[in-house]
Amino acid sequence: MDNIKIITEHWDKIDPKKIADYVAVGGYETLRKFVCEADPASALQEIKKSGLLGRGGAGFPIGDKLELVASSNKKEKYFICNLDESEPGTYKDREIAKNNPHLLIEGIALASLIIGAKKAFIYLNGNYEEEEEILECALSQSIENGFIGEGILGSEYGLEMEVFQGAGAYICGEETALLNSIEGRRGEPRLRPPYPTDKGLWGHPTAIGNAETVSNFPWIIKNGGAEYSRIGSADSPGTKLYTLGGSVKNTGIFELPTGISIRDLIQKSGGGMMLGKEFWFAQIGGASGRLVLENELEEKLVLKKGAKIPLGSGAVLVVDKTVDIHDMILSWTGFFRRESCGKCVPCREGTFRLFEIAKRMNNGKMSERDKAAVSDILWALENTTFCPFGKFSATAFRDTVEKLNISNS
Amino acid sequence: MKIKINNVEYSAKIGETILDVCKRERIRIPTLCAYKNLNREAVCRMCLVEVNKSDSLVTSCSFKVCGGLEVTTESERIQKARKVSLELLFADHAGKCVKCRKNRRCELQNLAEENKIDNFHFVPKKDEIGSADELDLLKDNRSRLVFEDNNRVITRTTEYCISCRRCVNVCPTQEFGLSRRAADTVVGTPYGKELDCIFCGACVRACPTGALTDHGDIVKAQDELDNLNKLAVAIVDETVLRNIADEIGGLPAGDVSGEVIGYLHELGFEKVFSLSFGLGKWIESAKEKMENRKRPIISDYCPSVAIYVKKYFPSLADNLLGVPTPDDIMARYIKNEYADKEKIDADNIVVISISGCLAKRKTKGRYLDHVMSPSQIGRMVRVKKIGKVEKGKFDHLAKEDMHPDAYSMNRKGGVANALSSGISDARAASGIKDIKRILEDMDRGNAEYDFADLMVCDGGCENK
Ligand SMILES: Cc1cc2nc3c(=O)[nH]c(=O)nc-3n(C[C@H](O)[C@H](O)[C@H](O)COP(=O)(O)O)c2cc1C
Ligand code: SF4
Ligand code: FES
Repeated sequence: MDNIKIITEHWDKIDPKKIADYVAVGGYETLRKFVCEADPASALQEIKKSGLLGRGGAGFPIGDKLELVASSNKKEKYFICNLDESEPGTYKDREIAKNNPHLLIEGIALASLIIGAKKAFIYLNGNYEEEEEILECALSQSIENGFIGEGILGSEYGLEMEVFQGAGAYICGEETALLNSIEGRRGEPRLRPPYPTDKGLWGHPTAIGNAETVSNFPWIIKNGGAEYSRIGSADSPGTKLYTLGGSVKNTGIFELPTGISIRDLIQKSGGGMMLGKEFWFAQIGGASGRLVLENELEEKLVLKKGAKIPLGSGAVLVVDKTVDIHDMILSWTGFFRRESCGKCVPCREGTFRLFEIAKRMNNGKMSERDKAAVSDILWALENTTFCPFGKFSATAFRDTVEKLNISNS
Repeated sequence: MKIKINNVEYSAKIGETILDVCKRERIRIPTLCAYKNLNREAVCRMCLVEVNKSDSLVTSCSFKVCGGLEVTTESERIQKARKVSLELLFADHAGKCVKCRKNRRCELQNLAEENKIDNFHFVPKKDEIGSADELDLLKDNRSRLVFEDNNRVITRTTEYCISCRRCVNVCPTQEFGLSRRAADTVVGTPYGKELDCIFCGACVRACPTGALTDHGDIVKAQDELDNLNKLAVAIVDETVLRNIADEIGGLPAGDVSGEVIGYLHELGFEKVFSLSFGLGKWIESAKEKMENRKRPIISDYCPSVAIYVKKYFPSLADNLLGVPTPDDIMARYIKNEYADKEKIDADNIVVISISGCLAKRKTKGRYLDHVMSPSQIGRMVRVKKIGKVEKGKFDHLAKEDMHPDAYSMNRKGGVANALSSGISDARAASGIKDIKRILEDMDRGNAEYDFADLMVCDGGCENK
């Protein structure tokens, strides 16, 4: 099953603006079956059995999340597909939207009907203009064809779906900030508890899932959770979309099972390093991801919580030795200094000071005072912030300091 | 339920936060953003503690107690967390204290002292800055500063703001919000508009730093106080004396009226009159006015109510009682009757009311020269470095200048009580929520009463 494709299967064969193309390859069959059989509980069981973990970065079992909302007896519920995708170097979700929007829509419909939501949102990154057009087009076609809307395919089921475009803020990918954004509030995270599954959008139970996560739903419900759970690594089964970038021969999106080694991804999919380039390190999971050196390339890429090298959004950036690390530090710190929501003190002030220090760096060298400051700031970002953004913003800087040894060179 | 804090058992109620319990048990936890019973935003991270239910530090202001909870409020990790946050806040705050109105009265400054913040390593020293470009990087030098005091009552300086959001949450009419993000976040009015609110002053009382202060040209007032050709007169409510004492600091508990009046004399107030005279006159004048006023009458004893009604319920403006504040009435008396009696040119009298009520500044008429707050008096005492003083006594405008009902007027329902002879049925409310409900009722013509005694400050007049 090593080359099984679940999400990318039809990418180059169908026209995203033609629903007939998707239907011709068996699209919407799972949804049809779902509404005919009207047995959301067993569909949910399949999702749970699949062991599918969220692809948005946190790696939470999506089945458990859906169950929390499904079991609530509140009438009004929501499902939100998280397509904010603002992690630098990650563009897998937009490719899903662009290449096979109907797969996404079908997945969202299944997730929504499983939890009993009558309304679903696609929260789309504000910079994704082309994708917005494609999604709107696909959505109106699926409504015309009776897959979305009142009485889906003549059944009792109904679902409204809406594309909601944010303003392109990274923090709005965090699920509670996302809720605030849809509600028209300031895009910043909320205190938890209450959790969105309990009090989410406008206070109603809400399940939020990444676009890639839900795109697996049609396959899982069609082929069974047990089948899915046999793909890839046992602790975080399935395929994964890796966004491979940097100094490798082939860059782009690759759908491969979880649990492959970083080396295999670089060698087999990426075709190895670009000619004349020497591997320095790879960053796993975007700007908020960890750095791995040559001796860690055998590490397996898994989504499980607490993994040594968190896969995060699935971005793998390969950096060669000609790269100016100071440029990278500036780009990381600059990004987080811009994107912090400004809510809590350590993140608002810490990301700012870190960027200042980065700008003061002289060929990667820091003054003794700045070294002490960096150590304090990174600690505060890792241990005291309101939401995980703080940790994210510290990861690469810490690895640079601790692994790359640049300030001593 | 029982929980353990620092290894001692305490009982706690469901729904309480760790901070709530600690406050009750007098266990010190530093806080900056938590304020009274407002929405807990958990943004300052000052109150972090360790709990047995989590590996990470948690904010005690938001963490709800649960059975079996064990809390540690002091450890190396906690101390470090507080210190780094405070240092980060101080990185663009240090060195500004001396010129700040809240100097020595600032919660941030107090916390910095308590936690011995002396490390400013986030900002390079002068000789470590290589070029002008690097200097430009400093947060201080970027223009996110909003300064506004055109409204004559409240001065806003984002320079001192630590984005604790107390003002955002405390404001009864939601004048404040946040704009921009990251380190560029600004707490302010929508589109940076000039503040045009009901001036209840809740935000000024809530602000832990000098970002929101009562506007006041102390220098000008001080000049007038120092001017020997002018007779400076203070009007002060006896209950306010205690607050002045607290602002001056260093005075014992209990009755210190004599000492406070002594300080006022030292500052240049030749006469100090009790507001009770004005309160009595206010009651008289209100009773007269009521006779031919449109019912139901809305009391505007609280000047914020008057502003609120005119702004949000203009159709009810005619129902306002329409009596100037006791301070205004008294100032007018001083500049007319009193000036005549003492044979002083009214132009040479400066009447200053000392009151914590900011709305009085907005509504004040021409006879009252200034309204100063107890905190401004405290600041003037500190600036002048006045040490020990001789006790003083109130001066008197008339033999009997105390009206029996005057002192209960600041309580909810007190005004209706003082005017009860002219009222058949009254409603009393304090706090915007209840006021709004009453006014909406009235607006719909549903009021079955003929007098509404309203006060904007929660739980009665905050005139301190
Ligand atoms: C700062 C921050 C940014 C995030 N950005 C995204 C994002 O762009 N897309 C996404 O799917 N999840 C993002 N997440 C994770 C979401 O909070 C949430 O866990 C996810 O949408 C849940 O979907 P999943 O269970 O399918 O992964 C982000 C989290 C944080 C803390
Ligand atoms: S102005 Fe004062 S109360 Fe408002 S957020 Fe700033 S520091 Fe806090
Ligand atoms: S008081 Fe708890 S975070 Fe500010």
